[in-house]
Amino acid sequence: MRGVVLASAEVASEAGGHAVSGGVTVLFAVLLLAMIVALALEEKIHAKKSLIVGAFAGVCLILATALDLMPLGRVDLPNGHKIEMPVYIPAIDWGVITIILGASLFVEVTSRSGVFTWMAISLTKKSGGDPWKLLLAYGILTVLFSAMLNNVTAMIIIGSLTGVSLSKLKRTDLLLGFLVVEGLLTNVGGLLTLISSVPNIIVGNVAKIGFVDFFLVSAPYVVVVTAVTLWMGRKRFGIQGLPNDEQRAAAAGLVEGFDENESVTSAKFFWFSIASLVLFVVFLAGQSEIPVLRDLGMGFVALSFAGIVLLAYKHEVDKFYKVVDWDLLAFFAALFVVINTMEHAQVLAVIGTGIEKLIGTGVYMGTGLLLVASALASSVTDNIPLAAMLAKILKSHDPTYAATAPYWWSVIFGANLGGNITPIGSASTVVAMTIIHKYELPLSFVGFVKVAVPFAAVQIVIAVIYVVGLTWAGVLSG
Amino acid sequence: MDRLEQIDEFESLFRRSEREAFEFVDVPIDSVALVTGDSTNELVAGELKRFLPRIGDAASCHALGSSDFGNVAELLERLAAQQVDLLVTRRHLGEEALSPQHSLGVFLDELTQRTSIPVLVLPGTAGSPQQLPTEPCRRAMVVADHISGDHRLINYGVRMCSDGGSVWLCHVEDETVFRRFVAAIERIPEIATEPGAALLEAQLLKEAEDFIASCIATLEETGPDVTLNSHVGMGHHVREYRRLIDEHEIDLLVANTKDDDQMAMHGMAYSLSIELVDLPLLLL
Repeated sequence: MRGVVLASAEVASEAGGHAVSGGVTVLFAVLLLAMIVALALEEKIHAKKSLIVGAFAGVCLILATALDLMPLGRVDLPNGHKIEMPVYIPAIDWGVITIILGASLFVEVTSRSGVFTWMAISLTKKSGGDPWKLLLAYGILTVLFSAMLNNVTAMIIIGSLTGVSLSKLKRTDLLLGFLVVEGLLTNVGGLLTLISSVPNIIVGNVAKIGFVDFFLVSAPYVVVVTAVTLWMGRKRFGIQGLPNDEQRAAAAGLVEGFDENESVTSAKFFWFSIASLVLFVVFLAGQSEIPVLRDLGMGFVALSFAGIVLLAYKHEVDKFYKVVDWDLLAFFAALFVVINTMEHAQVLAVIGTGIEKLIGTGVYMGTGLLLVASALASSVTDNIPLAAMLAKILKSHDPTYAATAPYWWSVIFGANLGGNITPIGSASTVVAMTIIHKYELPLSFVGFVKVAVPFAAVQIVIAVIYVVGLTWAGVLSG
Repeated sequence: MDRLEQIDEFESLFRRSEREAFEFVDVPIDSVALVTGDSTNELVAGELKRFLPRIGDAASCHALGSSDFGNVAELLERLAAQQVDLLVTRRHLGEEALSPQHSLGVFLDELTQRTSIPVLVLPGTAGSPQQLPTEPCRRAMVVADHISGDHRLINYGVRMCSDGGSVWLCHVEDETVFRRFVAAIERIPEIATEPGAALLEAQLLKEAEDFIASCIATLEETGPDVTLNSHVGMGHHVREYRRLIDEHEIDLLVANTKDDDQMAMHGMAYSLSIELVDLPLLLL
């Protein structure tokens, strides 16, 4: 095994242009593996992601610099100028960081208008308190919120409303089923748009996939799989509609007691937020076609909209700066540094040879295998480093891959859906488990896997058929 | 903010949006038992018709004299047999010789706790009875520790009031208890004292205000010709209720006496029943 790795490293070192010994590559591969294990054990070692990856980034940088792997010196700018810059600064993908920073600030401010809770409560009332209609409403909302906000916030909003509304309806016997289905749908909703999940942003940024193109490919899959997941959830957890008018009237009376306007503190800001949300999506969709925005990128659009909505709170913007997930942003920055050092240490080239074997089985088989492998890998570790690493490997494997190349989509679908196999597979399933434990519902790690695997397997099989089918039909190619 | 705190924040947000809608029921009172002592039973029937015309005109009155029962258990048996909807009695029934100032008497103490029949307590005591007001009851006051969700109490308050009258729905948060919580918050560094206390006070009063708003809206749509007014605030229970009774010239006070946590009468109802001897009380 070691021989294969070393041989691969040597091949890679020739291709990469660095003089890297096999031993150095193995050393960095071990560091990468240790980081992935540490991230998987994040809860156990009681350390935040940013600190774990930051520590590995520091060690990697010191070693890579000491071993003369890093390209030190001035950095070339597009206009021909050279500037002094620490070597780890250009390693960071600032496009991704600005999208995440801008979008999270934008969502934080607009959510203060009560628009998301208003939507959630309005749909609860529309369901009339009927469990099956409620599952449909919450399932669809979970997908939409995961797409518009992020899957963690979606799970927090819908999961907490589920607890409150089922308690009010005295149907807490259905709570476990609702929370599991919602947790599984967060990762499906995360596939809907280019900015719905971090793997999408990372892969989309590297592959240069446009917002509209992304949506057109992913939306049909999301619609079908949402329907399938809800149907499976109904069967698996016995979530039925109410049998008679008397029960329907009683349930409707209970949910009518919710006031959707409670969180809407200002009608003006409420409508301003809705208008901003619509415009935000419109500008993201049109960004690649609008001359100046095309050059400034999606991150600029996100930051601009964050700035516009912050004007509504111009005297207290610092309050919103405090709630930005700095741990997540620092984690990304450190992760890009680690991946950059791995690239220079030829670790990515070695992994790339493994992926090359998958791709080498043919475009259909390769696409399917890469999707399944990505899903399995992301089920036990964080899907963000996985997506970042695979995107970089695919790019360096063949820089001519078009945005429609099926392999990008294998990584996107696999990295998102793999999170549904285990409770640690994605941040939103971790949140679902947190709510499940809060209500003292009986579901262990193994219990979750037993419940979730049939759902995840169906979702992944449909994804493989879908991506391979699109490739076969010529929608995805190149 | 960690995940659990975020989940808790949204749960609070959704719980805050829960509103309990008032359900109006025109409480049926067809049978009234008068247990006020042999000498006054007959007089009280007439007084009752004047004071509570909406009840007195429709209900049949049965007087129970000292020969009908010897103790509380026997009285309860008689009330159950007659399917009584309202019991009218006095403080210190059967204890005319003893009139201690700090109790209600054995009969009233027991009756309020051992039966679900509402008890109308006449002013004065069995030893020194007072007449009911000669004018119909036009101003009733409903008081509760937690008025939100107490449909029965409010429905009885509305039922007692004569047409064109007004019912005051009152909720007074005990300031002493509240200060005790604020003092605890002052010792918790994780909670900012001023905003914490202000938010707690606002939320405590808001629940009552929301429910009373629902009562007013429901009665305007479906209820009888009775106007609802509200008073929601902080203060000392007995002092504040006395002040409100004087200020609004209340004719009848309606209060809960049962407490799920104890066998004895609810603390606030007991205090009011002892102190407001001159006022007719409806105890549920």
